[in-house]
Amino acid sequence: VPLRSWLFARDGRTSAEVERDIEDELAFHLEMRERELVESGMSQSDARRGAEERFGDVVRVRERCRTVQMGDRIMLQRAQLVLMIVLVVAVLVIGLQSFAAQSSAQDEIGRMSDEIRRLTAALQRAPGSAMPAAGLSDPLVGARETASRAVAEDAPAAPFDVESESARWLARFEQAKTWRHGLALGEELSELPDDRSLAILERIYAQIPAIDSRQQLLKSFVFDGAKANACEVLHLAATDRELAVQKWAFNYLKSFALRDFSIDPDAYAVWRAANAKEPMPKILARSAADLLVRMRGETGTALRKELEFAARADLRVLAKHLPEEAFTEWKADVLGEAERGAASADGGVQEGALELATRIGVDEQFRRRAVDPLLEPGCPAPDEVRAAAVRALASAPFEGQTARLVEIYERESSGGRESRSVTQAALHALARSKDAHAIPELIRVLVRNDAPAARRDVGSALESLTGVPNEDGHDGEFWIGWFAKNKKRLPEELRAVEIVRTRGG
Amino acid sequence: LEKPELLYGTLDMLVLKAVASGPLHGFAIARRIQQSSGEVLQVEEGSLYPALHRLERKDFLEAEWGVSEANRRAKYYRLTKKGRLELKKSAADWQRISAAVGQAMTARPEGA
Repeated sequence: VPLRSWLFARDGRTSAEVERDIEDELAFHLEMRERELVESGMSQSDARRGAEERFGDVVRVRERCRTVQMGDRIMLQRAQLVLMIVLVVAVLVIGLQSFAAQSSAQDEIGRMSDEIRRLTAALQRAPGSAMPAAGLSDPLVGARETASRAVAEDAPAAPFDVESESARWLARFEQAKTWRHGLALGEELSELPDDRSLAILERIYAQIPAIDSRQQLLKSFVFDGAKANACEVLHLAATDRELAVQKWAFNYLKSFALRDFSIDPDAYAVWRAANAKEPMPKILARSAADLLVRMRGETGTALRKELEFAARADLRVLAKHLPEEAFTEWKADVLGEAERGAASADGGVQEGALELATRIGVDEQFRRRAVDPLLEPGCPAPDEVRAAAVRALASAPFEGQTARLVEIYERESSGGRESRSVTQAALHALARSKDAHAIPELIRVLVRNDAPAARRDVGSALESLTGVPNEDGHDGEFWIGWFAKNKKRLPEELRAVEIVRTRGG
Repeated sequence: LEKPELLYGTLDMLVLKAVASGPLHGFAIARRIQQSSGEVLQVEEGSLYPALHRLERKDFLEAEWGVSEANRRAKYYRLTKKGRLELKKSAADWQRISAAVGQAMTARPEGA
């Protein structure tokens, strides 16, 4: 196809003009035929109908003419459309990258400005300084030199002017365009030394215009075990004018108060009065003790809620801020309450207690007293409770754990009392264990029973352990072959293992 | 009387022949073919226009807009030099084929 016919119409016409010409040409033909029929004695309407019938499908003819005239250009239009889409996507990607780079550069400039300001102040105070405080020809070079000198001379830190710093931070938050900026600024702010971040936030928090920023900056104070001043920062958010911000604050406060203020906002004022400006370890010790008291005093649904709530608490906060001994003691006490709950006649309480124990970490005593009875054959506890018991069993390693989980799976998937929640919990635990010893055990399970459901479920666990896609569910034979071929990749003691091709049941 | 359908491949040749004596619009071409065949051949109008556009693209015809006898804007097709050569070739082919067909149809059966 000649290039010119791709780029131009043969006679320079546009697509619209070509279509209009076709339209006119066919209309002319129909009109002429109609006139001929009228002259032969037909009525106008009959003549019109006769002309159309003789002509045939006008739409189809028009389309065929269009294809003949513009075939190449139709291809070109399609190519242009594809090219246009590619270009739009490329422009969007480049735009986003540029925006991200610009934001990053702005933050970097902010950080560098801080550094320059701080180091310039240090220089001014440093004895015998040759560098003037103002009019630096190369502020970065000057700042770095000053930094070396200030460190060498152990110069005192620059004075912290809370008012000017607050104004500067507010200006930065006012420029934050997206939630990511709010998050990044919060991260930077939370790293300021001493309690400067709180001093600044107490002055500017309510003035930060974007709700996103007021929410996002909280993350850096509460994540990864939380900063020491997290409760004070959260108080600013808990008393925010926007419910959306309050909601975030109450959600985060769960980790410090170990209770849910979102269902009882009045309780927050009471809790706050008792904990305002208190050091974090003291706040947490009090909250942990209160939780135990509530657990001991509650029964039924209220106890279940406390158990479930405790199970979802962020233990990293307690682990970081409570003295190790106090934390260990508290966990033992909570586990004791969980043991009491697991023995309850209330299925909901049992489940909550087992969930909490799973989270805290099951010890041998809990396993023996609370978990094992629930996993005895014929235990009348509801399936969901026994599934929670399987999860508790799998939460801390013990000798023979893999064999025990496989045995539970086999028992629960046969014998006429299949409990899918229990079998799934066992397989899920085996899959998560990453214990290669589970591989031959599970293959033997499939050899004994490779019903479609077993292929799917057991194969899914084997997929997690071996990385072999399960797809439609391989049978026992496949897995025996895989095991024989891949023994070298498995631990030494498994290389001598042979899987016998016998099928039971 | 039912009109016979045009033989496959003959429409292009008949169109080129119709405009050989001067520019015509599509309707006139259809009428010319019908009249010149003694009212025997009737062009299927739905096929005529794609054929005209195809011949135009092949440079056998060139088209221009003019005014019809009824004072209407109409598209006139004119035979090009290339089209004239094509017509000559098509006509020669047709003569040869029709003679061969005629001969085949009038030949006496062997042994008769």
